[in-house]
Order: sequence, then structure tokens, then C-alpha cells
Amino acid sequence: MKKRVIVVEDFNTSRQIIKKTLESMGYLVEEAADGREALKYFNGSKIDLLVTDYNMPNMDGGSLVEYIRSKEEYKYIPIFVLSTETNIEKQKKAKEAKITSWIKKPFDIVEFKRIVEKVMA
Amino acid sequence: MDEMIKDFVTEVTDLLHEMENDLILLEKDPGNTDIVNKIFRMMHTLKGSAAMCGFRNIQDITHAFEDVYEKIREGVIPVDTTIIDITLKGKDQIALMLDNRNDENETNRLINYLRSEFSNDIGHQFHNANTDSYFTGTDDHLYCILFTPDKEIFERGIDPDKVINELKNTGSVRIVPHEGKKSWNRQKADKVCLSKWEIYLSTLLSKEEVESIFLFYDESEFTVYSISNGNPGDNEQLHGSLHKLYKSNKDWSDHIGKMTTGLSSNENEDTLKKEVDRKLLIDTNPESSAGDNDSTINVSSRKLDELMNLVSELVTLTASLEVFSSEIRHPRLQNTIESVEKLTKRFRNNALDLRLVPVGTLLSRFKRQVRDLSKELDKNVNLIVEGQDIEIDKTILKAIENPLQHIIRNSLDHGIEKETERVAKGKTPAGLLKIAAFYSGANVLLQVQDDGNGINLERVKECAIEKGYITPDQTVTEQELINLTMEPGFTTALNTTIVSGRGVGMDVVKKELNRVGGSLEIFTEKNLGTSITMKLPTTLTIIDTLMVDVGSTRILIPLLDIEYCYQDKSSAIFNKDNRYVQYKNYPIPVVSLRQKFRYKDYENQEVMVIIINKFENRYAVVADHIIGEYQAVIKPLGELFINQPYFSGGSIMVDGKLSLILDTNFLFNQAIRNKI
Repeated sequence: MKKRVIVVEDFNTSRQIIKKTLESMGYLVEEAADGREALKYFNGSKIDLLVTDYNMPNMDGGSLVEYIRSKEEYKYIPIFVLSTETNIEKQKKAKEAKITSWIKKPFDIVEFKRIVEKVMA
Repeated sequence: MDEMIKDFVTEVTDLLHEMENDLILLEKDPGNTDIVNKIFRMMHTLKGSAAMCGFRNIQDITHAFEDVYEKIREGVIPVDTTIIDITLKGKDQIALMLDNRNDENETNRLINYLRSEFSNDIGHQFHNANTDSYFTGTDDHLYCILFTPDKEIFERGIDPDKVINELKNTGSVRIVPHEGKKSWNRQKADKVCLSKWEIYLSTLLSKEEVESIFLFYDESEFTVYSISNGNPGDNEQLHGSLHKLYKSNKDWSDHIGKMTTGLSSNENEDTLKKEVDRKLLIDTNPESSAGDNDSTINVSSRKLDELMNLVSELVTLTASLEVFSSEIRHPRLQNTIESVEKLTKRFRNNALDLRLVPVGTLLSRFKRQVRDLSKELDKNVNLIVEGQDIEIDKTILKAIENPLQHIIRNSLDHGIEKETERVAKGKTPAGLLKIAAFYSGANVLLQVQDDGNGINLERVKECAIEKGYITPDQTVTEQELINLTMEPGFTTALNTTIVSGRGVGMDVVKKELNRVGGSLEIFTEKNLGTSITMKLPTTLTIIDTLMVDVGSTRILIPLLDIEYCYQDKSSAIFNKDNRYVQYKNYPIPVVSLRQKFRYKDYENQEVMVIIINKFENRYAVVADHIIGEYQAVIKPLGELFINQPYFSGGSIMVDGKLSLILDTNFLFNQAIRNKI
């Protein structure tokens, strides 16, 4: 069974790049333009990874993560959050936010692939 | 001098067996430096003592191996199948050399091969060809990593196992998990991480590269210490650094202190200190880790037999002393005798124990056989051995060696299928062979199970019909068919189909077992496998018996074979046309001991009927009275009695008289034959 990844990003071009990259790695990718739209995927179906932007209209990345972590089925799935912030203490913040890792935006595709592979291995 | 050589041979034989086991372990766990070190030491020991005893050839070959293992220790040569194969071959050669049965050319070829193939330069190339996770030369860095993931790590979508696996792939690692109160698997299931890890990593990666493996972790969750740039095989340097690290780096204990909640940091420090000390002790002092094994001395079984004999005399004598003192009724004498009696009992139990050896000493030999045979037959077999500590009389263990070998060969040859066939049947590609030993009452059960074909009972039936054991229209149960395979003479017919075709059949197996008082049980299920259970007495020298009177003779019947006793009128048993009694609604054949031993027949009187259960087949013997239970020290009967089949041995009673022990096997065969 293909692993299923949800990509949430309001900027379409970015979303398509992420989607194509993940698809090239053999994953099944579902997309949403903001947090609220993404909620429909979290209906109990199997999800292996969430890649989400932080700043989005309607429902931002932070609220989305908070919501997902409150659901028993998705409490332990890996989550990557894209952020333009270049804070050195990113892993510390990740710990607080209960996410797997931050990904710096704009991102390096090679680096992105490596990180995804690492968490999906 | 001869005595010394004899000792040398025994010692080396034991050592070689141990080495064989270790090699097989090493094959499964090639990174285990402890085993490599042990084999190196064994070769070294062998070399030394061989030189002393004048075994020049053993000295040469072990020297060559010592060099090879030295290189393995240094990490120049990796452990692989070639190494294991060649060492096993060398081990076989050494065994032959002990008896002077080796082929000189073969030996020289082996030594030359070792010298040319594993010489320094080639060794390096060899290594570069498989840059696997083995200790390399001086290019490696050694790191000590303290890994303390957050308790809620799972809620970040991270599994600490992934990091550990990744580390395993980067070089040679030694991982010391500190699991705390809950097992790691349990923690994983509960999604709470309480574990912490101490990881020693030898790798070509730089510190930054190692740290990047912990990409998803916060700095507070891991620390990478660079210990040395040298070879971790260089113990002194490593331990020097570790000591320094432990002693000087406050960070270490602080860090560990943070690792667990619940335990005070003091305790943690202590635990860690102990852990480190233990590790240092083990590693810097390799002899002490090998010293865990019980130290043993070899005693010839003749000496043991003599001791047993003396002990049983002593037991008898003490018993009669007791009878004597109860007549005199002198309190001080009585007290002393009671003490003597207690002491004698302990003495006897201890002496009995001396004859017992762990089953593992035999089973371990089969590990090699299974490995070689499955390779030869091109089958993939996993061997599981259980209950190696179970102890059994050495004579019995020796007696079952051949039967066991036969059964195992059968399982591998005819039981377990080839990989393709197994996959086609939907089984796991690797077959399973399980040899398990366990106690059952006073017996030891030895079970050989495989998950192969099972015995082809249709074929057995065809053969049985062909050979005239059964008629084509006769209905036979599966168990009866299985029992037929153990009938004498039945084997030849089936040699090519269900038995290994080596001229030894299940009948021989059964006979050998019977000789030492054991029995055999077979279960088989088509396509699911076969299970063969050997039931063995723990010792041959002492058995629990029931003492009965027959005429003027006292006879001992092994208690293990007795199922039930009851009293009845002799007329009810014998004054009728057939020789059967009703037991649990089944007629079972009955044997009158009086008649067998030519005593006057019973006149209408009360007699004891004793139901004997031999291999789930029952028959009854009739005796005059039951006197009671008696723990008999078995003494073999003299030459004069060698040709009589009724008694398997004798035992001396308290009053100095002799009692005979009934051979339930023989009577069973007779009773059954009468039935047919």
C-alpha cells in the first residue's frame, strides 16, 4: 500500500512543487489550500505524513497541528511544518509544538527529500 | 606422559566442541567481538598446550588460525561465511589430529591457504571490498553517544528506533539500552519513551555527520562525545578515554541524572558507575568473562560407577544399622544413627548428581550437524534448542546420541521441504527444527519437532499391506500406522521413502531407547510436521519401585510403569477361558507372575492386580501382596543371569537380601504377543 501524505499550503505553486516531489518518491499525495480544507482528510483514514505551511488563511498551521494531535488516530503521525522563520532553536520549538521538524522555506528539494525519507523509513 | 596426553585429548575435545558452538553463534552475529576474542584465546590455548604435548601439527594449524583471528580482532578481516567455514574445517582437522587420523596434505593445504589468503595486504583489500560495519583500521572515529529522547517523543511523530537503526548502518556499534522499569516494546506500545541509550559507535563519519543523524531531535536529547580517532580494538586507549570521560567529565553524570524521572540522580549515577565499571572490568579482563563457565574436571565413568557402588552399599548398611538400633533402643545410638542416615542420604543424592550432565553438551553437537546438513541439502532451516540445562545421566545421554542423530537427519532430509516447496505451500521459507528438553515427573523428555511434510502415512499403509502386517480391508488408526514404523524389520521396506535410507530405522531408535529405559512417541500431521518425543529416565542407577511378593520372592516393579492397583479374587481372574481383565471397560491381557516364575498356582485367594502402562498400552500382572514403595539402587545382574529376559537388574534390601527388578518391557512384549 502506498503511503499517504497530506500537503497543506495556500500558495499553489509551492503546493504543486511539494506534491510533485512527493509523488516522484512514490507517495500518494492529497492537497489542501488551508487548514480548514485539510480537516476533511482527517476523518479516520490512514495518513502517514502531514506537510503543512504555517501561515495560511482560515486555519493556520499551528491550529491545524493542535487539532490533529488532539485526535487519537493522528497523535503519533509525523508532521513537517514549513516556515520562513530562520530560528536556530527550531527543534526546541518543534518539541513544544509537537511536530517532527520544521522545514525552512524556500526549501532545497534534495534536503526535503532526505528529511521525508528519513521519517518514512 | 601417557596420562598427560590423555588429559590433553579430553580437554581439547571439549574445547573444540565449545569452539564449534561459538563459531555457529558468530555466524549469526558476526559483529560479536566477544566471540572473536574467545576463539582467538582458544586457538592460543590450543597452540600452547599442543606444543607441550608434542602435537606439532596442531601447534602449526592453531598458529595460523591465531594469526587470522588476530586480524579479525584488529578489524582487518571481517567475519563472514568463508571465515566460519574455514575455521570449522580447521576444527575438524584438529579433532582428527588428536587421533592421528588426519591427512597431512590436507592440513598443509589448509595452513597455506590461511597464510596466503589472510596475509596483511590481501586482508586490507578484502576489507575494502565489503566496507560493511566492521571495525576498520585507524581511520575510524569512536564516539560515545548519550541518547535521551523526550518522554513524549512519539507525539512528535518520531520513533527512536529509526535513529538507532540508522546508526547501526553507519559503522560498528555497541548499544547499551537503559530501559528502566518498562521494557522498550512496552514503552513503544504505550507511546511513552522512558528509555535512554548509551551508544558506542565506530565509524568513518565525522562528528557533524553523526549529529546530523539526530536531525529531528533537540540538542538536549542527545550528546555525541568523540572518544578517540584510533581503533576501538585498542582496548587500553578506549578504556583510558572512557575512564577519563567518566571521571573528569561532569557532564556525563549530569546528563544521566536528567535522563530519568522518578529515580534520584544519585541512584542514577551509581547505576551508571556500576555499568561502566562492569564494562571496563569485562573488557579489560577477558579471562574473567570466560571464567563464568563452571570450572570442571573430567572423571572417568568407571570411577563414578565405583563411587556409586560404594554409596549404595553405604545406604544399605545404614538402613540395616537403623533396624539394629531400633531393636537395642539406645537413645544416643539412635540419635547418631539418625544423623548418619541423613548424611548418607545427602551423600547419595550428591553422588547421583555427579553422573548427571546437561543435555546441552549433546545438543550443541547437533547445531553443527544441522547447519552442515541443511547446507548440503540446500534447505533453509532455523534450529531452536531449548532446555540445554536439563540434566540427565551421562550413560543415557550417550545412548541416545545415535537415535537423536537419526531423528534429526530424518527431519531435515524428509521432513522439512525445500524453500520453493515451502513457499508454494504457503509456509515460511525457512523450516523450523526445534529440539527441546524438559522435565516431566522423574523423566526427561527430549522432543524433536519440525514443521515439514509429516510422515507419509498412506505410504506406510501401502508398505504395511505389502509386508503383510495388515490386510487391505483392515481399518487401522493413524497411531497404529505410526507404531508400525517402529516395528522391527519394517524399516527396510520404507528405507527409500520415509527413513533416511542409511539402514537404521525407527525400530533401532526404539530399541536403543528401550535399552536405557526410555520410550518413544511420534505425532505427525500431514504438511504440518512431525514431533518425536523421547521419554528418558534421569538416571539409571536409582529408580522408584513397588515391592511385591510372589511366592517366596520379592520383586520390584518400576513405579513409573504402574498405572493402577487393585485387589481381587484369583478365581475371578484365572478361572475362565481367557486371560483378560476388565479395566476401564477395556479388556487387557493379564500375566500371572506365579505362573511365569513356576510357583504353585493360586488357590482361590485374594491377589493384587497391578495395571502396567507401557507406551499407552496396558497389561496386568498378578502378584500375591504389595509390600510398599521402595527406592532401589540398581545393580546389574551377574553374568549368569545375562540370558534371562525377565529382570533388568537387582537391588539389595535393608536386610541384605536381594530383590529382582521386573523388566516391564519384556513382559509387555509377551503379553501383547499372547493377545495376538
